[in-house]
Amino acid sequence: MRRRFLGTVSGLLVRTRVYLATDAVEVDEIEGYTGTRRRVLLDEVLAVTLDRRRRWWTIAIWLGVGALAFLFGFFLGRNTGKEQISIVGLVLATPFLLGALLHMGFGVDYVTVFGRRGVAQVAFSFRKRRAKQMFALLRERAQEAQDRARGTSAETPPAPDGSTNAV
Amino acid sequence: MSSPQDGYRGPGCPRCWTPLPQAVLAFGRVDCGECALEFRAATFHPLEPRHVSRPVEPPSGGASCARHARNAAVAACERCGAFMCALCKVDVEGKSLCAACFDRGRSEGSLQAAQTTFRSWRTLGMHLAVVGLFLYPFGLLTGPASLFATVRGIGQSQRDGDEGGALGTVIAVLLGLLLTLMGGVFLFTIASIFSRQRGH
Repeated sequence: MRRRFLGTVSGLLVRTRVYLATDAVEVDEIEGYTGTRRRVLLDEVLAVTLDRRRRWWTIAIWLGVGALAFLFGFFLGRNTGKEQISIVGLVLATPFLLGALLHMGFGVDYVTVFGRRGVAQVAFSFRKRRAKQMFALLRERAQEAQDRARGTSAETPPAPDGSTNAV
Repeated sequence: MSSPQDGYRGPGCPRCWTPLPQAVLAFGRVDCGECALEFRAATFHPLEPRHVSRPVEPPSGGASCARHARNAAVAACERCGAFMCALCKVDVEGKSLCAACFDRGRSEGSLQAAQTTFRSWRTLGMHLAVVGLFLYPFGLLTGPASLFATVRGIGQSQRDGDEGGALGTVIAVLLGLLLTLMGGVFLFTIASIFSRQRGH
């Protein structure tokens, strides 16, 4: 069975990789070197959402690290009388400051799939169009799966032995 | 922020996970009253699980299920041979198994499709490669170890049928090769210094 990579969400301890399989959204949660796989079945999807947000802690940490690198270089350069050290400090700080500014400006887009028993979420830091495409794709796949389930259910006779037919 | 899976309570705000009624989500554009997040939502109405209760007819002539004596057998387990009804039959990886054999296969790890936990070789390979950069004198150890783990990760991805998301793997392979090279160069340099000192 093939599954298509949709994206990731990274937390402090857990990294999540999300895939789209034929009948479900598969979520691989990796903590340390151990992964746990769970599935949000497309025919059980209750809602799909798309939102853009800014993680203020991320911005604060990046600005802090950037400022620290810059100030360290600046003061070291001033005390030793070598301006090059200040420039090195600025160069080291630039990626962090740029990252914080980009995050502040564009935010991170999240696509979330809510199922009956679980949820899957994918983050898009840079590819905003891809986030919209993913939102549309997941809506379409969920709708297709549920239409198919309705069609199958109409054809299938009830299960024997007084039990549920829920899968 | 809490994990989305911790005490999952149904659809709602994708940031603070406060549950929201379907009627609110159905508006399409939603403002969360708790965290003030504005988001787009599409709602669905999946089929409710049916709870069917009907009189059971005993199997007429044919074999009956090993667990549900009043149900007619529809197949035999391909592992233990027990007769099973439609309720007991689990189709997995092209085989029809009974519930007990399915549980056994899952706990033994012999059923790939039923596995819910796995070792992430890809992550191990990446971590070894990154940590190895700081320990580059030992590159001849960490480099091949990283490559070994990454190659196992590639095999794992192929078995899972993954498409896309290979950038991390490519980086890990390149770093692994670089580490091996750096380790080799380091050892060669040390060896040549020693041999020069002996020559003097």
